[in-house]
Amino acid sequence: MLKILDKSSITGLLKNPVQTFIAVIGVAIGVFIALSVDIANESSGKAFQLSVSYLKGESTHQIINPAGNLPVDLYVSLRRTFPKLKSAPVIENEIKLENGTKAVFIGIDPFRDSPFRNLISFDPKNNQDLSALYSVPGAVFISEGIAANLGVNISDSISFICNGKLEHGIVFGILKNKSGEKNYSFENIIVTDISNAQHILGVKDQLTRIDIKSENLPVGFADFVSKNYPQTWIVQTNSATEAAESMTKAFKQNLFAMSLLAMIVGLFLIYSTINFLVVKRGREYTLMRLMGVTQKEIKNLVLNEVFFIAALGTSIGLITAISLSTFFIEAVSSTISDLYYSNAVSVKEVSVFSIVKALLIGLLTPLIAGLFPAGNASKISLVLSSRRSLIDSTTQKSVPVYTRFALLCFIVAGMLLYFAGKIIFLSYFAALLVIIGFGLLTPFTVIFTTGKFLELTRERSSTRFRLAISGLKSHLKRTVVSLTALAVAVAAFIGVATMISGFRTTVVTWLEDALKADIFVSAPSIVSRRNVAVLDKEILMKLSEYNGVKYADFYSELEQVSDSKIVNVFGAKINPANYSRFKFLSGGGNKMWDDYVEGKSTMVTETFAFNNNLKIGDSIFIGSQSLGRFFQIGGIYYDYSSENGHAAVDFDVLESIYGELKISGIGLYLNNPESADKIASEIKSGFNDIMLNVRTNKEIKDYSIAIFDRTFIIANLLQFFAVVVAFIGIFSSLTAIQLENGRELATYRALGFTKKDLFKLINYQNLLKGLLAGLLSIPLGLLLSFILIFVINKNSFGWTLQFKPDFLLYLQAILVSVFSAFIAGIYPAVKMAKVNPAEALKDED
Amino acid sequence: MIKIENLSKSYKEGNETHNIIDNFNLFVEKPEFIVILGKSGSGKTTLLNLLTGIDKPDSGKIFLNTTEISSLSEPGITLFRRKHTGIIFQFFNLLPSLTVLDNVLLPLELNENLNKTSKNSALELLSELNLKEKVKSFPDILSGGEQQRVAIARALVHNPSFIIADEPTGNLDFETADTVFNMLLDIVKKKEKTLIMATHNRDLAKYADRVLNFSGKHIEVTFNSGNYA
Repeated sequence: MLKILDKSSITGLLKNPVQTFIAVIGVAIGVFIALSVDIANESSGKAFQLSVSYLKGESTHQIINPAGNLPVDLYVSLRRTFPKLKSAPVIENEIKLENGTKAVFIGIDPFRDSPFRNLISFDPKNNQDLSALYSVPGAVFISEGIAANLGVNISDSISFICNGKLEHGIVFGILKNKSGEKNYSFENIIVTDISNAQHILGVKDQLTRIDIKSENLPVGFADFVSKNYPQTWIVQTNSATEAAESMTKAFKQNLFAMSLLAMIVGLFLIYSTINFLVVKRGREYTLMRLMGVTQKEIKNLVLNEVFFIAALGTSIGLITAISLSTFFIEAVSSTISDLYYSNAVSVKEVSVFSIVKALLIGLLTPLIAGLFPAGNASKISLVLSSRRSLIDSTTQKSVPVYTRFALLCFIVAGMLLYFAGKIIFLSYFAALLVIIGFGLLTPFTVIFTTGKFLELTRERSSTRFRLAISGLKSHLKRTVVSLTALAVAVAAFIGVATMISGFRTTVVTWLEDALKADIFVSAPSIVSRRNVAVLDKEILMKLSEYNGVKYADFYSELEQVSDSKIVNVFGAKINPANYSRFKFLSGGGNKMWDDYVEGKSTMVTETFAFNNNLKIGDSIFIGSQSLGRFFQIGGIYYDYSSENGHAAVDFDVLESIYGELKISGIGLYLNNPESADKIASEIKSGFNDIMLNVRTNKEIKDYSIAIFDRTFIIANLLQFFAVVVAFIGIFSSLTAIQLENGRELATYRALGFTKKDLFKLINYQNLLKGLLAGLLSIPLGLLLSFILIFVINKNSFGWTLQFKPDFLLYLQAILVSVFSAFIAGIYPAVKMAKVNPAEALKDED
Repeated sequence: MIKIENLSKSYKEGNETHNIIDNFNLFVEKPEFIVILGKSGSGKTTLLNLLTGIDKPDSGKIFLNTTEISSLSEPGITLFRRKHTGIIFQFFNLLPSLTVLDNVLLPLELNENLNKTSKNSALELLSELNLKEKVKSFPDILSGGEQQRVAIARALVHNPSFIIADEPTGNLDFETADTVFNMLLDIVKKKEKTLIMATHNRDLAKYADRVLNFSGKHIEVTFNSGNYA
């Protein structure tokens, strides 16, 4: 049975439905954001794991050639030399289906593949004509997902684009998951026999890789491979998977930073609503104390109420996040798919860890936020007549202490930021300290500015106006909470907007510098940031000699997998006329370019150097395990094409290591740049056997910016949530202030203020609060954007971003702040303006 | 038993110190009805605050029964107040979030004495105060007189030794005030409790066993023999 005090809590909450609702919603939004971001991150990670790991199967090692395919002879000689070793040949390619869906095309040897994958097997019960796979040219098995997606069935033909070429197959079987469990790898997969895959893709006698299953490779195995096929690498499967996963780490960290920011703003909302409930029930708590309820019991009572709110809000947040997570998953998946790898599958992964984390956030955050109001409630003065003046004078007396603590917070935050390095958690904590410090500094700022304001306006302003200003000071405690909540939210808005615009400006400037060619040609890539090296040199020759083309720069992009890292290596042929398009952070110069061409040095991107802790003069290994060599870093240059970065060596030098390379991209410089559109469309229609991506300078810049903007969809969404949460917070806070000021307002009414006068007075105060919060939000917003740009982003991505003050944004922030305070204050102002003076005066002691 | 020894209390207002109670002594051995008279700001409420432990004296000692409440810690004084004191306020001060019955049962629950028997006693007390029909109502729909009767029930239900009342009829009309006062006095007498009541109403002083008259710095004590019991 419920205790009587608990009954009073429930009735108390029910008697304040709006505030209870706001508090519950505040918690729910916090939990929703935290869990949604988690689900999106985990789901995209899981989708990747499922689609990659499953296809990699049980293999322990893989033999690959970073520069292209492997000769099938390697597999044959391996089988002869190491007959007991479990090995399987694989052809794997990312493809695009007719409807634009990304999928994986995989060629395997059905007789050798069963220890590795459970894709197809000779099971007499499944009625699949497996023999067709190796006897009928073009025969493929497709997953149920693709069959449903494209509406194709057995005997239908299927078309897809692979490496820029349109390929065709005939469906001989639909792959069904035998275990009955949902297996996402089956959603977007086309399987065929290895020889058929070679036939369809036109890669006769070649393999993508060879999978090996052996905990300990046989003695002499590595030597055999490197001696006979020096271009190849033997990599451990796990490290390859880890390497691919680590690519998205920075992106996910950034997402986490955004959700944390929204959570901090949410904390203010929870604090202010709980504070409101405590204020509203302050008199009741006093009476309870008079009846013998101890301070501890009052504290527990408040915390029980908070826990009830937290539990309810957390439940709503959890349910909403799980049911609406699809949107977040799609947003994150599409970004990851755009930027990192072809992540064709979509999985909803809700781990116990995420739920526990969301539960902790939902239950603990309100309890932490509620501790202070609970403490206040328990320590409320029992001498009723002097209650309010005691509280306010206490706050005013504590201003120097708050200010000292604020300075301490700033100092600690500064130190943390200085020493944080790559420990991102410390940077987040520093950001939190800056916000707390800012909140603690607000009382001083309010007293100082209102004092100055009164001084300046004493002679010229009306009594009502001066009352409004001095009201901010005399109700300092409430003023500070509402001001800080609003200022933090607007600052979050400024911080994120400054970061995004700084990022955008940097990228646009860089694109202007880096993309000088008039036309860019590449094979269509599944992953926009990575261009596979599939173009023959013949195409390069034809394009270089094309009518109107002055000369061509070109490059080949390779992926070296080692030590759980994917190292992108560019073999780039750069015309000396274009050296100036590289802007160096350090190094560079004529000597470097000479060394670059002679193969003595490499130049690396800023992010590559950052991620690998490299500086000028350090060396990096480029090449295969047996053919590679170390290159000294001669230049570190700005590049915003990927956060993982790359190392560049001269194209001829890279060819001297790997043998003949195919081309990833070509930049054409024209005699007359104005003819770019015409020549680009001629090139597009001139190559029928391969679908070339031909983009003019303007098109590629627009395309890059479009991808950039898509990356920030979630950041923008979280920014929006922060503003919504703040708006609810300021509403709740202003309502609390009006409620607490009831007696004072009633006195004004009794003195002859009309309802309209009172309404004006309250609105003056709200507008002033909005203005003050807006002004205060600018330095905080700048600090936050500074931390986001120079610490969190720098340490997550390694990019130097421009920090560009945007005065229009600050003006916009002040307007948002003033407008929010005004709108949020209308309801409480109307309510309090209507108060019956007699009633209000009687109600108070 | 109430024993007050050399009690002093002052307040600071700016640089000035106002002595509200100066070296006051009192000894009350058995249950009595004590009225505290005096004009506003004379220190009536201060003395009540000191007796309930809400406020601390500058010097001197207050013994309620055998406990020196002026030396108790904050939790100690709260627990003492919970058990031995019932308070009645001018503005009733019922808990708005609880029904009449729950308001009255709360002191029993706080004292861990809420059971069937005590609940029945509480109902009887409410019935005695003509509130039987209102037990399930919330305070906001009761009249002033009804609210004050609930407050009386709440102050007495856990059988405390001392009832402290601060202007209990000050917010009621004459007729209702008379009724409420008589009910309070009847029950207090019947239950043999010490009632200490601050009031402006000199007419009520004639019912008291002892009157403490706050006039400036001095507290004049007069006895009306034979009023109690």
